[in-house]
Amino acid sequence: MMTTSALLSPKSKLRQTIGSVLLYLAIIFVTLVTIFPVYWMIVATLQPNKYTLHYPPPLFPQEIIFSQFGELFGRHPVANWLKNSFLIAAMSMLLCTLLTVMGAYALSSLRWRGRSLFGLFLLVTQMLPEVLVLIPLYIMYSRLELLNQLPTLAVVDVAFALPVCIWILKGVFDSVPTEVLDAALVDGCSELSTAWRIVLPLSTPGLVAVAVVAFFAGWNEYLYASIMLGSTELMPASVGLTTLKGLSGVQVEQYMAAGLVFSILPVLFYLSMQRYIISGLTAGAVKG
Amino acid sequence: MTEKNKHQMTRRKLLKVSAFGAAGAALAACAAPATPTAAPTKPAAPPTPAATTAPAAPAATAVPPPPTAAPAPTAAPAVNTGAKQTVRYLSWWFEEGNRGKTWLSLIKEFNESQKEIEVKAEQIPFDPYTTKTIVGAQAGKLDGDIVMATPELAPRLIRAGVVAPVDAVLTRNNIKDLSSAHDALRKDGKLYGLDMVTVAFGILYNKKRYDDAKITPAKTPDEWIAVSKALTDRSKQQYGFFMNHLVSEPADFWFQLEEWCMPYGGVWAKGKTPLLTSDPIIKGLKLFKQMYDVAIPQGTDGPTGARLFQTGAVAQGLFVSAAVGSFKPGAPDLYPLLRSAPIPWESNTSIARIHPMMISAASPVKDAAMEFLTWVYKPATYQKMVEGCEDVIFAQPSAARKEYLDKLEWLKPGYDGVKYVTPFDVVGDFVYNFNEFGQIVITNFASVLTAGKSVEEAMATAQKQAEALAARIT
Repeated sequence: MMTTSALLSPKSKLRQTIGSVLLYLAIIFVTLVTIFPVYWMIVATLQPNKYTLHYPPPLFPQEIIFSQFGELFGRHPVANWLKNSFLIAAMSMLLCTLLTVMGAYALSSLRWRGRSLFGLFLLVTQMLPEVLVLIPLYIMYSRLELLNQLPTLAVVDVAFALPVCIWILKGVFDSVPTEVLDAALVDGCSELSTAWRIVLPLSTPGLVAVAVVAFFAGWNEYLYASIMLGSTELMPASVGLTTLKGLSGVQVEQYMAAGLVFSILPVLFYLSMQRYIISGLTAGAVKG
Repeated sequence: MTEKNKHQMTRRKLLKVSAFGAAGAALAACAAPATPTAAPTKPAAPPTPAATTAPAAPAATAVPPPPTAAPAPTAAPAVNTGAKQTVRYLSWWFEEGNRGKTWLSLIKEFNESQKEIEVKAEQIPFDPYTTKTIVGAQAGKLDGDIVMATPELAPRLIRAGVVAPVDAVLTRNNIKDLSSAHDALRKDGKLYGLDMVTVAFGILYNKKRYDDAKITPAKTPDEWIAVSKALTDRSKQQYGFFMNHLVSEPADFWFQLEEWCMPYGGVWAKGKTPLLTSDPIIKGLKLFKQMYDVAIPQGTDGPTGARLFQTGAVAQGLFVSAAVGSFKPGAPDLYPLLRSAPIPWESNTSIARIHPMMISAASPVKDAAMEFLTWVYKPATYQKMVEGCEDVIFAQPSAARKEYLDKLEWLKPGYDGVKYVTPFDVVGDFVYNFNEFGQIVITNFASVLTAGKSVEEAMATAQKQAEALAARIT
């Protein structure tokens, strides 16, 4: 039996080979461009800064040291920054997931006038820069005496992440088969318990995706954290990292070590949830 | 009813669930906040000199007439409402080497000297600090009770009416020789801030690098370029000069580029009229371009440039006087080698920047904040503070101690005997929109450095943009 490739003419084979080579070259190029900054952060962290500051800098580490981590944690309240970041991100994640479930369910299952328009409006809010509402929000928070509190900052982060999260979860809810829901109702579930017992378990990947998006939104947020939190004790890592840049320069290896430490938790979190995230983000994309 | 609608949740039920959710969220939001605390450190034990001598500080002095009557001087805080009052003192400098240690030490000393007031230091990184304070000013209320300000921030805060007069501090401390730089902090005869550190630009160099190259400091702009070129050998990682030059570091770039109107006696603007195409500005920027071409490690960011200076790879740089002290703990090997070069232009003029301490007008503990400021500005405390921070320009010239200044080998001639102007003098009314104006200059000038545009062409574009900015802010 002849294979498909055996049937191809030499010209077609050549074209296919060139296409494959170009494709792999493109993949390698994009991968290198993506990975290199992370690689450089690791190299600059692990080797003494005399090598990093050398021009041209060596591509591979010339000497490995770990003392920078001790100095970093000894001289700066990095653990406290990470704790604050985690608290903000965790609160954002919980609140955002809760509100997203309600918002997505309203957009997906309930029939009400202006539903589509409201959905579109939610998307439009994503086109506006966050800084646009900085001063009004600051005034509101200041008058309500909500500045300098981690939970209230988490509420702001949730507000910015919510529209995207609602759209992600709406797609997931839309993909739950109507027959399954009908069966639940026939079996005696109320509408609320149908949502709780049937829709949410079937939407686990979507919920995880929403939780991850909300977590990252809270973890990485800088602008509002730098404006609405005034105390060193409340500083999250995204703001704390900027304090490492001193008046008379910066310890490059410590700076990079801080960046590495700041990145590790979200990366691990993402890796552990990756399976759900991909299926969650693509759920509802194709409906039969 | 359709099949779909059968199993839908009713709007009322959804509202119920939402209400529960919102109540939960509100409870979470109203949870007790983490309590901000200051980070007291061990006292830095700065020298506490007694006698003062002739001031070597270059700041001009004046005798400001205190416009308002004030209570008699008091040794201890006068405020006593029963409960201890907490005063939040916001600044970017509590982690800046000697300056941070000195301030934390002073705060501790004040807190231990009485029982009614507790001052808490709150550290905020410089970049967000500026944004945060501007947002506060625009919102009509500053966060914090005591705030530090930059020369550009101070007039914004005064104009926004968010800071309180502090004339009483002068009366209570019987201060009569305040620096004339404070004139910019007055409005309707009232003083709204007291300088805690005035920094001046100067050329700081590594003496060893000069000695190795058998070079003496330059006296003219052309000599300066020649000296910098002679100190540069890119193949050996040796550079003659560094200053910030990246658009990705806009605040730092503009902060230093501002000084480059000085070599040929120019100003960036007068009143609301930008002068970006004026001859002195064009010549100053061309000088910078020459320096960039022959001596600067191109593309290097600020922290790396400073690090290269610390390692000796960079021979000289444009540094404010306040930065020199921070090299002492940060680069102890370099510090003894630091010297300042004379200002290499005929006018011998440089920019000095005043950083006043201000009190929020909306502070509920304004009187307590005023007590702290009064205590800090007592001549003896003030002197201890300036010397602890290793600053060299005294807002109270009579507090300058000759023995202290003589010990600083890097002080003369670059930071001594120089004529100073302020940002108000060089950017006119754009001081109220300093960053926006600077952004216009640096983004256009960057096309000269990296895209081969001529200075004239770039500044012609910048001039138009600055005029449009002036029209917008008028």
